[in-house]
Amino acid sequence: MSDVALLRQVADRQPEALETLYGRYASTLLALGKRILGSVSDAEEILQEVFLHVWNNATRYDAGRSSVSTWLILIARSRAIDRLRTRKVVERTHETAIQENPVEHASPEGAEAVFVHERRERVRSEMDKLPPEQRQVLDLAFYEGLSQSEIAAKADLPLGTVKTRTLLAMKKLRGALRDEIRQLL
Amino acid sequence: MTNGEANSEDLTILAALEALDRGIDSPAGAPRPDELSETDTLARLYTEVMGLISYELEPVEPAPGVRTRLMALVHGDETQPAASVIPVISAGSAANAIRPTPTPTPMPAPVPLRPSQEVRASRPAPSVQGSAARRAPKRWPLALAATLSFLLLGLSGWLYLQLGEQRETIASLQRELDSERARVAEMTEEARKIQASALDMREKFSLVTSPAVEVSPMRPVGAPPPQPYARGTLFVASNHQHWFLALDGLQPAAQGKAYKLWFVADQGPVSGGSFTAKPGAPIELSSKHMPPGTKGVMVTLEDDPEAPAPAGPEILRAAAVYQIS
Repeated sequence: MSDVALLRQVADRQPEALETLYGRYASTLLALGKRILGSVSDAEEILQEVFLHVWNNATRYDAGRSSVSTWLILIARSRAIDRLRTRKVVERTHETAIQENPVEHASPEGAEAVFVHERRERVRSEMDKLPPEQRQVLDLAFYEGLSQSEIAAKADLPLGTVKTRTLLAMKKLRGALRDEIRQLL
Repeated sequence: MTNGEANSEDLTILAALEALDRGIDSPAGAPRPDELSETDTLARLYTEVMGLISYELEPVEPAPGVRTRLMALVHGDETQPAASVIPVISAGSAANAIRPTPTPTPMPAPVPLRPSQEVRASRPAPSVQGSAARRAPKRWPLALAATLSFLLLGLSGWLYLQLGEQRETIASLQRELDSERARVAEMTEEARKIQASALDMREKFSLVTSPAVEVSPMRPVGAPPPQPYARGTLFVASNHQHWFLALDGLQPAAQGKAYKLWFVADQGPVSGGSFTAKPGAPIELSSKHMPPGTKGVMVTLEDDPEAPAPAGPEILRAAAVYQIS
């Protein structure tokens, strides 16, 4: 069953549909929460908040603006960034996250998991191809929730340079991930 | 691409990035009316790019307790927003609600004596003569007060009994309401299951009757085959993604064993999931995804249901492919 059909059932208050969506996306959303917050337990709280938000606001999903997976990911990111700002954590938490759970790794099984696995490999490969300076601004914007001006201040760069690097990175990813985006549309 | 188009794209990207902080539910910006569809399409593309970024991360499996807590919250209240507190009115509190609140009785203010009473009080005591005639009329106020007291007592008792009956009625109605709610919940659940089943059947029907569907019979393997009466039919949609497999005649797997479906793809056998069989019951499996480059399909009987590669005896194999058009 498609994600949109599942979300429609969630809007009709069918818990099984929410559970199926959870099964499909929980590990991806938890990885994102952990990357932003640096803590699995905090990320699990965010994960629960995200799916409760979906349960209560499924009717607000607009299929014209994003795929279901992107909608979920951006809700999770927004919640995690909000919590990060509340905690006023300024240092990067990536290393802490690795130390906390160094061996945690999902083992995809089944045809559907293979499909997602291929998407991961593709995205990872394209992200690795980005020049470090473009990668840096993208990380600061996406994982730390910094505005272009804040990135400029933090990286000690002119605002124009930050914008140029961000635009170049986004355009490259759009071109390189054309097939993945087509699958989501 | 012209400079103007490039500039518009840049603005769209920056607007989409800024919109991240406002949340996906809020509008991404205010495009000019003449650019509405183009800008929206572009914004959508870059929104999907941002959604894809997190796929670079290694997935992290949440603890089982997270799913359990979430589903407990959701199952706890399927009609109200989850995690909200619903005030519960018990029968006792409902009865209290209709019970009149006792108000403190005000102390009567001292009433000054009327001049006539003052006069009467200062009047000298009457003589014995004629006192019997005046004593009789003084009894009736006492009798009236006693009668009124009895009436009030009776009325209070009657009201008390009425209140008890009303409490009982409210409790009884509450029980009926609870029972009806439970019945409605059961029926709703049943309707949902039927709806889901109908949807599933419709999807399968549309797959097996769609033009250009590929049908591949699955036949027993081995000489002699371990399960000669097992049969299966695999339907693959023209997009080579959506598939439906119907199996019949498989013997129940022994304790600890399970059947596994395998797709033989470019990267080797890929598990399509494990399942069990019941005597005489057909098995139906389906999914919307098939590994790319799948060349064959087989069913094996495995000692370990989580086996990453086929190790047990092969029971069924897709023989040939026929195209229905």
